[in-house]
Amino acid sequence: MSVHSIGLLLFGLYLLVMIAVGIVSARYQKTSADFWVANRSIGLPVLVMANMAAIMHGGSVLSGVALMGNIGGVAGLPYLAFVGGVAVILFFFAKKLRDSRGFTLPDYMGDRFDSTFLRGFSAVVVGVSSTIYLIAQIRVMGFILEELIGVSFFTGMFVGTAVFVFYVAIGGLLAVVWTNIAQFVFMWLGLLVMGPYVYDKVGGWYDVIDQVEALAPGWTSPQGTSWTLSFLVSWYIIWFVAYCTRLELITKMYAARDDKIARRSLPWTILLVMVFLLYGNFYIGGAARILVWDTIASPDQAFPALVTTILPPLLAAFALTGIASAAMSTTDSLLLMSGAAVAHDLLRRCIHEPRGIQKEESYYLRVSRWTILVVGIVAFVGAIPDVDLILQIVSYAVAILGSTFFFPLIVGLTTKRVSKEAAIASAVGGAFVCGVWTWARIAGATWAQDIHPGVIGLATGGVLIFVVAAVTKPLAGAPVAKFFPEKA
Amino acid sequence: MLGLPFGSFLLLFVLPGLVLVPMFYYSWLIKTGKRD
Repeated sequence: MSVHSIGLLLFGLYLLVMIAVGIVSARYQKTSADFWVANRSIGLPVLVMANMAAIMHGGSVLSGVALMGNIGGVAGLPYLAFVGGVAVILFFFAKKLRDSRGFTLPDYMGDRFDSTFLRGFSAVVVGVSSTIYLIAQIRVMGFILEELIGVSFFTGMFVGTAVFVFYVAIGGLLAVVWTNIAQFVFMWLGLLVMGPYVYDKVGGWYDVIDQVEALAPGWTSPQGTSWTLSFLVSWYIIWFVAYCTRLELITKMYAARDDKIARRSLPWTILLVMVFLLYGNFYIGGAARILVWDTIASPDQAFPALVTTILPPLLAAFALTGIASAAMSTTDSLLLMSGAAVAHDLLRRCIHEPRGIQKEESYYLRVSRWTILVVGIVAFVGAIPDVDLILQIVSYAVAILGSTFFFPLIVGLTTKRVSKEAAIASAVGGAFVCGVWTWARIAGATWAQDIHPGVIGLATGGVLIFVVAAVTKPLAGAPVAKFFPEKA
Repeated sequence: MLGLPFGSFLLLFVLPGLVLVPMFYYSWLIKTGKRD
């Protein structure tokens, strides 16, 4: 049997496992809380693995190896920014978010600032950015499956999307968490099985660094082979803020069994991310630069080329399928967040509840499932045309999310002295300026090329929240007491 | 220093470690009930 035949067989088995997890998880779905936050039942080891799988997926291996092989270890250096961003969630956000008993980030915005407008605006930002990101990730998934197990791009997208839409729609967050754990295990097995073979060919850490630096001078320097200092600094700022406001992480804080587990999961998550980047990207990326760089047409082919070059066929199929399995570990989280923005934040919290419309939990559970299905179909259809613009916008999606939510989160959770108007000005102003700057940059305006839109959006959000807070009256009463119980 | 130039070594290991250590210490305080 060829590598691709074995890979297809393994991948088929893996898809059956995902479907089975969805069916079992569906039996535990009775209320919205079951569906969106797994009834807040997630324990520490499960949460750590689910956190890790939600932010590092199959594409992180493929693109990480390509990026590090190409420009050097510098591409992994921003994990200082990842650690800093997650530290902010640990020290400032996690406990209060978990204790507020919301489901989503728009829940926080609406509850903390007592504003249905802010809840709705946040839901639109989360829903639109998650859906655009989802469209791009479905294309990434199709590409990974095409590269790794040899199915056609369209078939990879279709089969992958059908499976993850199925298990998310019937099993909610519980299915996402357990499938993420399976994907996490498959991905790590795929990476670890390569270890002895890579070591045999290129030696250990020091050997790889020596050889790759000789081949590509500057590869180990803080600026890599091609980055400027200003690019490096803005990369750090953007990733720091992106990790503070990383929706996949913040949403999972709500699902932890208690606030202690929510917080304790974070250092372990970031430690796993660091090990993943050092081994799965830095070491393997360096090895790819040494062993296969001259034989590939583009950096994206570095990982599959390395695997098929150094591993015997059966292990190569196992490694490639392991990484391919993790292709959907981010798409399912994004689909769940897009669905929650529509069914929970907009329909239930912005339309029904302010009007006193009361519905059964079974109604909202049904609506949630249909919403997931519709968003999944929309994203799949959006992923079919090869629209370069979507991929360009996606690269700025984290900047828009950061510009919208960073200051309302950090200021709203650390001080009571902030008004509804200040939060609205910061979120809307930050998102608007970042969006306009992004549009100008993509359109080719020269003035928008030097500074990243996220930096401008953040600066706007920061200035607005402090200036408007200084001239408006801080909120008082229940919204504040919910987040500052000891000081209310 | 793991064969890396000083700047890379700092950015790759020392500074992330300096952030990660207090994160684990805080986590341990939470686990042992010394911090709410």
